[in-house]
Amino acid sequence: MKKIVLIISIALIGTSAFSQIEKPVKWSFAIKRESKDEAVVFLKADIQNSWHIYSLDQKDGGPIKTAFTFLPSSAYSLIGKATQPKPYTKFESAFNMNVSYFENAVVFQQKIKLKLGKGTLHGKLEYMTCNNQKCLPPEDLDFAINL
Amino acid sequence: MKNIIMLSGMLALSVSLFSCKDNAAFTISGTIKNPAKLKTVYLLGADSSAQFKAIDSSAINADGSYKFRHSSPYVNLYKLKADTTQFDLVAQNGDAIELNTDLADSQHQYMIAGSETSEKIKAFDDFSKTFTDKNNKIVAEFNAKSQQLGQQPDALLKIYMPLFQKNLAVYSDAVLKFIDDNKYSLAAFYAYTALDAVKYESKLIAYADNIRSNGNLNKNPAVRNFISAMDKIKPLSIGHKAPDFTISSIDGKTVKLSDYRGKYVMVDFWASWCVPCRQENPNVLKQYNTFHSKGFNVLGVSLDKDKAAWLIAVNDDKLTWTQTSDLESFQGRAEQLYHIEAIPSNFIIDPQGNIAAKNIRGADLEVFLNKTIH
Repeated sequence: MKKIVLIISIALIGTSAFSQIEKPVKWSFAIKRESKDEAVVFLKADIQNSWHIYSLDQKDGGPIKTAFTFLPSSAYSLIGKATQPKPYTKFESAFNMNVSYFENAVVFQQKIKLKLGKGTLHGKLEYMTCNNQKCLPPEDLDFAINL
Repeated sequence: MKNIIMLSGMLALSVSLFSCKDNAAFTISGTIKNPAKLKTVYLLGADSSAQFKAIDSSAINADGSYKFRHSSPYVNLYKLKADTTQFDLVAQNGDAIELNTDLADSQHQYMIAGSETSEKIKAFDDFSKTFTDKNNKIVAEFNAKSQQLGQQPDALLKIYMPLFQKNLAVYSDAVLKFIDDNKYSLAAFYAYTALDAVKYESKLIAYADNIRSNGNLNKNPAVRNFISAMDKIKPLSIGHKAPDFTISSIDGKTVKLSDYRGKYVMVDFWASWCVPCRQENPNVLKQYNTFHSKGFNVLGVSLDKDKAAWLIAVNDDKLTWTQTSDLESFQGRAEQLYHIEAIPSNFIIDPQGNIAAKNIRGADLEVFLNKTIH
């Protein structure tokens, strides 16, 4: 039902002749120290109404999943894998499989162990965004976070 | 001596007469009733991308009055922002515009004078609002009914989507008429933002050509940007020659678009990972099966990078027409040549090699083929 409301809102907005190249997803990054040598990296996506990005564990054979790569460094090491809140999941008959995705806003988290107490974390993220009408080019984004 | 004094007196008189119309700037003034705690109003101006940014502010006096004096080398779109409410207007040097409103009025009614274009924009906004109200009502009714039914809104969608689309079409026609009636006014440029740029691409290109040499409008940076954006997409619009390209098919053969001359061919840009593309595939297959024998071909161009995923999708969706790809996503040669910025995208090319239609899907595709291919 949500889907249908979305279709209608897209039809209403249309594509304005004045809109620049569409950028429906904005990323921001933050870090929070949990203890002397542990911290959590927050990777937040703000997603415009009607668009979505796909979960970290989206199975192959469907849409392209969101993925993070953290470059190895002497300043930190990863604790486990990146985590995500519970995505929306629905069966997509076009793929004959479940598709899980996020809307509006999502914060991914990665726990890290701080080894030097300072330095910079360099990483890369890949994601793809679609609405019910179209998909935009998959994007690679580099980011750097001061520890 | 006396003569000279008289002369300078006359000069002073003529200056004061002229100052009634200030050609170096425009003013926007008026009264805001019931401003409550609001102390300041803002003037927003359109930049070269037609985005509105605050360019000036004015205090609201104890009697509710405010005044802006601003100068601009070209006619431009502005908004007066009072708290969360914004009022559209058009101004150019020499204008003395009056705008009065009452912030206690939930309908945000306002009075504007001193600018014919601004009055036109007000009329346009009023008209747009009646349309939006109508469509909101349709959406609300649809939502209420689908809530009652629960799980299966498909049947409802079949009833409400055409209603919605019909309303949108009626509105778009009225917008086009407004533009035609006000061609050389910035009000028409303003109205164009209400149209779907994909569906009305040809109209937009024609409008850009129409206003290109209008000395009043073409100094405005947003208008200039719009004209150059239209110039960029013009070679790929309906009626123009489809650029030829060579590409490899899934089984390693070389395919040229011009090999399809003599028949209609739809160049279909898609990818295995694109949900809306995969949802449209059954429709393309259905139309292909109906119209292929009558002279309709499809040339699939995939934006996949992973050949295995591409092969699986072609098999799963049972696509029988020629499939091609550079395996370079949006950077492929055909994708670059056709300025593909999102998928699915398609171009239908006529037997002479000209673009006959663009980006038509679902029922629209069937309507087009029924009309065009017999």
